[in-house]
Amino acid sequence: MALRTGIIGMGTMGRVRKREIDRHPGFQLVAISDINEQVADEFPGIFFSTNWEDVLKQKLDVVFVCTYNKVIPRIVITALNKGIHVFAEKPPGRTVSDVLEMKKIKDKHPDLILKFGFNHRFHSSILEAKAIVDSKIYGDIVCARGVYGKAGGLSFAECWRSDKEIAGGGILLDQGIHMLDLLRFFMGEFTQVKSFVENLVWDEIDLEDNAFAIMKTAENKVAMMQSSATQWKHKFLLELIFEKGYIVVDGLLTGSRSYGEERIVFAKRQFEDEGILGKPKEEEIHFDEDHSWEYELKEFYEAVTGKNTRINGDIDDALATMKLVYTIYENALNK
Amino acid sequence: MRYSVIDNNVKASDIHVEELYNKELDYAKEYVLSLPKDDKGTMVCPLCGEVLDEVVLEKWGMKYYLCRNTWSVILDTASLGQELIRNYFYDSKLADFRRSPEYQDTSLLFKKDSWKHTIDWVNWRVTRYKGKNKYSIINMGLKQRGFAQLLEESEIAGEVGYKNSFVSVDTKDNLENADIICAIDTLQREQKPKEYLQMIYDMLNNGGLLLLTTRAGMGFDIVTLRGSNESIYPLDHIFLPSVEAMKCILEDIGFKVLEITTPGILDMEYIEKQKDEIPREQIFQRYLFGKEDKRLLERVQTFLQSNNLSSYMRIVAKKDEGDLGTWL
Repeated sequence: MALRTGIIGMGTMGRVRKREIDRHPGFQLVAISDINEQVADEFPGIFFSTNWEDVLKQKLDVVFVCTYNKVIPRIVITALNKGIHVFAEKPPGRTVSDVLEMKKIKDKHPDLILKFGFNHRFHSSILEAKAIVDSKIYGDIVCARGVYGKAGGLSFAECWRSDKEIAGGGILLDQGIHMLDLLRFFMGEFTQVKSFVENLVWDEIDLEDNAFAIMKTAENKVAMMQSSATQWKHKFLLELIFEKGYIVVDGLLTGSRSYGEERIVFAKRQFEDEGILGKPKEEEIHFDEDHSWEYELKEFYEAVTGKNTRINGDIDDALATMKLVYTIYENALNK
Repeated sequence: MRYSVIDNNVKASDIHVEELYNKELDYAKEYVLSLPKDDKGTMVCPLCGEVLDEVVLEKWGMKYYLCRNTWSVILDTASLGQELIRNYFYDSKLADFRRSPEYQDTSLLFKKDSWKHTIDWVNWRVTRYKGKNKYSIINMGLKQRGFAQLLEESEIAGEVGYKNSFVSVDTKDNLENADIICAIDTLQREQKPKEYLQMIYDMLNNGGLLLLTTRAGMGFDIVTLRGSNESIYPLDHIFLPSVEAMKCILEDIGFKVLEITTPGILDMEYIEKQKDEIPREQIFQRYLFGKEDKRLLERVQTFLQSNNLSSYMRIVAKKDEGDLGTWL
């Protein structure tokens, strides 16, 4: 029987989730909430309320929380206490204490699934990179570099993402959190962090428009990261260096295609005895389709229906990544 | 997905070690020339059942036909009994040579890197689609013992079994079913490709993966050089499918095709080596190779790879678990 499903928040992400829910035979959308009343007209036949609590009063198996950062923790906690499995968007609230509150409740409900939408782990290039890492064909990762940048835009200073009360953090918490999640995904936990958190262009907002970090794990793996709202060209670049090779993930398929064509380039190191030094054989894969939303939903479905016990973006992932975000904020050399 | 690779270090001689390859060709030719020839039969496509009338290339008195429905190139073996084909692979001077220490040891010396690359590919794709773990593996049609050793040492290898091997392999396991089946360059030797793939399907555990490589009939060097192509010969090459034919045949059997790529790196090199033998009517190819521009040929090779037009195909297919199968 299909899982009775609700969505809270029908902005961009709510609609992306709905599209995938409609495609998956294991979900049945029965309730929607949005602060904009007119949204109801778009979804006839589905229970609608402007009050999210009304949605959680319906008979639901799962709920998707696609709201602003500020309200995510309250909705997640209420849903878990009602025995509903939860899929919530990132970031997991505004602060580390938000995540700890959610974790406290989640720990009381070990049978319920709580998953956060770190969808970048499900992009084709990242799945390929992870398979190379896990297969050990290049040995262990020794270091990494990540750049995630966008162009802030005309309304950057006025939008909710630049409102500290609603968002909690700037570009690092909003977008850079994906890169930090990926670096953790590939390299493990970082124990040392140095950083700069800056307003390089938008002085008038009290949230950063750039963050730079250099981080090290207990196993001596080092990562450098920049998250930027002033890149002016949408950019995603992740380089992983191994003992015996490297991977470059360049570009990321999105709805707007503005982050370029998604491709992964990878090569085994070659010295003079195997070819031209510094010009190894590079293999390259280009991806024309983004399945990340579909795969993420499938993984959630498998977890809820008991087919899979390990999920990406669980509360422990959320807590570790949020702690890293706040370590970067707190350790900033310029603060 | 569109895959490409440029490898300036791999040459045709790494794939076909000259000392061995010339002898293999001589033995193969001797065997094929001794076969009874009978042109009176009708050539039928083993995939679509259509009667074929367009000869695309001829070698050693045998004809390869084009199936215009499936864009596959198929050797006419209708007049040969299965016994004659079997003998070619298992009971002939060629088979003895391939089992000899000379062949096995020289292959190990020259081909170890290319085997390693193939096994890295298997390891990587299995990890990608099934996750990091140990799996039971059946390897089809083993030709070189050195390959078996590398396969057994790979990160994903649990129990490893062998079917239709050309050489004997010491193995504790005699698997009937497996999570992974590797068919490396074996389909091209099959007279009945659909039955062969059905047999593989039946041996795979539910959710299991087939990793298959084969020469592709519509590859650029094959359609350009035709009968002059030294890398295609009877009876080692009987069935040369197109990308579309492979997708169709696998899906008909019940596989979910996860990916088909043509990472071949040698189309241009094969043609360049024999550019004086490009048929007169292939004006574009004569023009292209007449330019003697190595960078241009490299770019064309990359184009062939990333658009599934090269003559070497790699496939990953899964024994389907239905719509709600795992996201991996």
